[in-house]
Amino acid sequence: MNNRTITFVAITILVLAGFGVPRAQAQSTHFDIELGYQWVDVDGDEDLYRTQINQSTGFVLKGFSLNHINSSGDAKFADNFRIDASGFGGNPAGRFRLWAGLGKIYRFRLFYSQFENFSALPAFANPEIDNGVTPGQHTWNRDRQTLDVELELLPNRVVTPLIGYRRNVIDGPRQTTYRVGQNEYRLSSDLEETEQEIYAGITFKAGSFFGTLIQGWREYEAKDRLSLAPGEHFGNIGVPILGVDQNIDDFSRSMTSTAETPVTTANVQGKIGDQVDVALSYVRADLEGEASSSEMLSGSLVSFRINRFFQGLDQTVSSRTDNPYWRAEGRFKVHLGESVRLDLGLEENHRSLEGWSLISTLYLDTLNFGGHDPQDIQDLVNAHNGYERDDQIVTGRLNVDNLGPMVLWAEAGYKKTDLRLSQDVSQIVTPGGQQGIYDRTTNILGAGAALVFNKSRFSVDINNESADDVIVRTDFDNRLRMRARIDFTPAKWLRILGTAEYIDTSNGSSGVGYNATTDHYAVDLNIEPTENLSFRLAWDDYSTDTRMPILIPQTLSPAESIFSENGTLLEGGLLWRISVVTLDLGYSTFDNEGTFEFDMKRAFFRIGVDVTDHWAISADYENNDYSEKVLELAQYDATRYGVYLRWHR
Amino acid sequence: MKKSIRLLVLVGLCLFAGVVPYAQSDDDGSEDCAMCHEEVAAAMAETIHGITKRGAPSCVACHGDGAAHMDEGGDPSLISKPTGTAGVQLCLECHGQTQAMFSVRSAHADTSIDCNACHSIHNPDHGRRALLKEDTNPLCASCHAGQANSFRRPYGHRLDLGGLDCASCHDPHAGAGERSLRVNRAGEGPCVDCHAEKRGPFAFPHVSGVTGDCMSCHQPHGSTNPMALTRSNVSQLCLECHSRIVPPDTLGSQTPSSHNLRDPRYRNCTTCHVAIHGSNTSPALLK
Repeated sequence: MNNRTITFVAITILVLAGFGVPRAQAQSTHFDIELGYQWVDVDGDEDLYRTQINQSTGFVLKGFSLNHINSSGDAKFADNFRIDASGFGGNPAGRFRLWAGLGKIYRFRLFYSQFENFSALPAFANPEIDNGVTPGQHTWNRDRQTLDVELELLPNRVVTPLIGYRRNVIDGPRQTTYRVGQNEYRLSSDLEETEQEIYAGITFKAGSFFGTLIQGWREYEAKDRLSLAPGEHFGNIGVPILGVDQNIDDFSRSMTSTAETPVTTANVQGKIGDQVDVALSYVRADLEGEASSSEMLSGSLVSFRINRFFQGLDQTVSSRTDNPYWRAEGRFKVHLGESVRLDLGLEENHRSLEGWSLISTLYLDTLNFGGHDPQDIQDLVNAHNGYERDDQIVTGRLNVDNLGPMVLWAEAGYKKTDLRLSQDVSQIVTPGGQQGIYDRTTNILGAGAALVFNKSRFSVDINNESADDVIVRTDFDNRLRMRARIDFTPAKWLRILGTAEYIDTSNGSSGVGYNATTDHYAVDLNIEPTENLSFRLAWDDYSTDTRMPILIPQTLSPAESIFSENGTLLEGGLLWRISVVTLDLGYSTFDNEGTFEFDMKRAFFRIGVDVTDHWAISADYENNDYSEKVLELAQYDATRYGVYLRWHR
Repeated sequence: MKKSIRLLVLVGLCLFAGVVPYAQSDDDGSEDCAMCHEEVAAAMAETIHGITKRGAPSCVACHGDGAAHMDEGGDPSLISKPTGTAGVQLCLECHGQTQAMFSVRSAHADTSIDCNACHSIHNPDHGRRALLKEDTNPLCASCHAGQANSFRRPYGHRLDLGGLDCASCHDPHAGAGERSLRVNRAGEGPCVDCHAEKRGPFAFPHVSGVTGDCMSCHQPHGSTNPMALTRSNVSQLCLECHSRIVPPDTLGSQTPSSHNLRDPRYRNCTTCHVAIHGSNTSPALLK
């Protein structure tokens, strides 16, 4: 039984148990559950399908909600109780939420989610792609589970204590690669990472002010055990180097890393007189990490770093990091008149890192390239990295509401970044560009307007950011964004939604000359000729063109990096209710041209029949047809169909 | 010791938990409204707002005194219908915590979008939480069609399979982050709340935290790259920073000349640089 099935069964039992909630006068209990079985059939590259969609044959919980309200005032355990769940079973992700509360006694919430992360792609991390070998060498099949629980006691009092717990686990197998000597080898890994946090604090109210004060303690632990993948002794580069075969007989690596972080959060907000709202917040966290790794291998290898052949390697690494962070923010809303408001924001944050690492590598049984001078050679790297980064963000925005049907706003501000980086470049092959002092200030100007009437809304906004310097080559020195939106309901049966967006980003610095433009247009038409029949038509066109000069590494000759996309989505569908029968069908195509060309088609059909007021049955069919134009292997045609039973009351 | 002191302070404060309730009276004449608006009152009673004994608002709390309205046979002009900014302010009287999240960066806070645009106070669908008018994803898509369509690209987060919705990463009431992104209690963006292993700290850090953020390289909505990168080819993304044409004063080293792009392994930089988010064991991010 796999994780999906176990979770599906557990969640189903739990939600069905929710039906046991008793009912009495002044109480209402609504529930809705849809449960079924689906079949999935894939032609083509199933790994690619699993990487992108990953639905599977089996039971599936389409949706569940239970909402219990007891407004009588005599509830003993909960006057409100709600469960929502969806996705468990045949879907790669599911989530479960529970809320409960009783008057001014408590509030409780729990959130659980599960994700299955699968990846095995033909071209990703695949040095053998030209030889037709697939999938690539980085694959994984992991589960992630998150849990978030919080309990508030005495809510809506002057002081309300709260306590919470978070947990995030990812584990499962993967395959990765390791470059050692002059060869690379495929490794199998079994990873388990767990992050937990417990926190406690209060919310408080005092006059027109209220706020929170929370202290949390977070810890992270990761363990990764790696070994040579079966049959991978000769690596990807199975040719002799300097006349000597390259291979590994045995390999093992064990890595452990931990991090502990106290997190303090405080915020307060309230009114100063009738005209000023203020919100202040402060966060402080101090991440401290430790890591260790031990690695042993034996075989026949060569290292140009030490200019020797060697028969084995014994490496240990011990690292320590200190990464404090704080952030303070103040926001003010100043009401200058009935319809005029000035919003001011000031944010400062600081982050620094100190990282130490001692890497001890013992090359065993080495020989020089002449085949002489046998000896073990130890290589020690004692690295010390560090950076400090300060950001200051100041924003002001003037809002004018209720100018008849108009709303106007304008904003100005800046973001200032100071970065001081001292990188220890031990073992980095090419020097330069890894440390220094960088200051960058970005000025922001923006304005917008919205026209609102009846059920329609038209809005435009423009935003320009200009920077005085760049830190990395892809930073912009100017970015202009313009956007228009329309939500127009000219008749009761017609709604038109549209978006037009243009973004121009550039960096004219010497040696960069970066320019990118993006155009994005989207239109949705919703047509409801009758109450029981609706059509939806959608068109979306996205195009982007990015160009900047780069250096081709092997020749050090300049070239232009061009990335372009032109994607067009067309979609149509209808929803038709005929007495107790509901039909829902749709078809869409997504054609993408440019640097990465692909074609996606999706067809969907669902029929539901309300058998009684509380029971319904349904069936659905979905087909996803995906193909890439450059790599013929990268295609699939997947069909899913299912039958479902719905019970709601 | 600092931890213990903080804990003691918090426990001490909790022990002073007050007893002054924030309650409204449910005895303000609201029950008279149900004489004519029976369906609305019944629907309200089945929501969290129906539990007036725990301080939920009554009819009068939002619509004001309806005596004149009743005296004139239900004249609609004589009853308050709070919409727009006035409606927002009314909701925020109780949901003040929400206001804490409104920031100057919030489009929702500053234009004509009010609470009723997304929440249905009177006629809830019990299948939806938070009295939302629709499920989260279609609700957001009803205005943000372009963003919704961006999820149609082959790689990236999947919204339609039960695990995530727009509000998983964005705070519609406007978080402190740019693009209305959620910011957690530690002041971090939403990515590391799930992808905790990318947070570090790392003795050998790469981009995130040093300069830029996750979106410097990733396009989380949908991408043509399997790792949701902003370029379909990994090497293209890397080389745009790691090319020193005219040695400029920018961060990013030159890619070694041994990296021959004609060889597919070098077009996939992360084939070897597997710890691209940062490493504690390899300065070149090889493990």
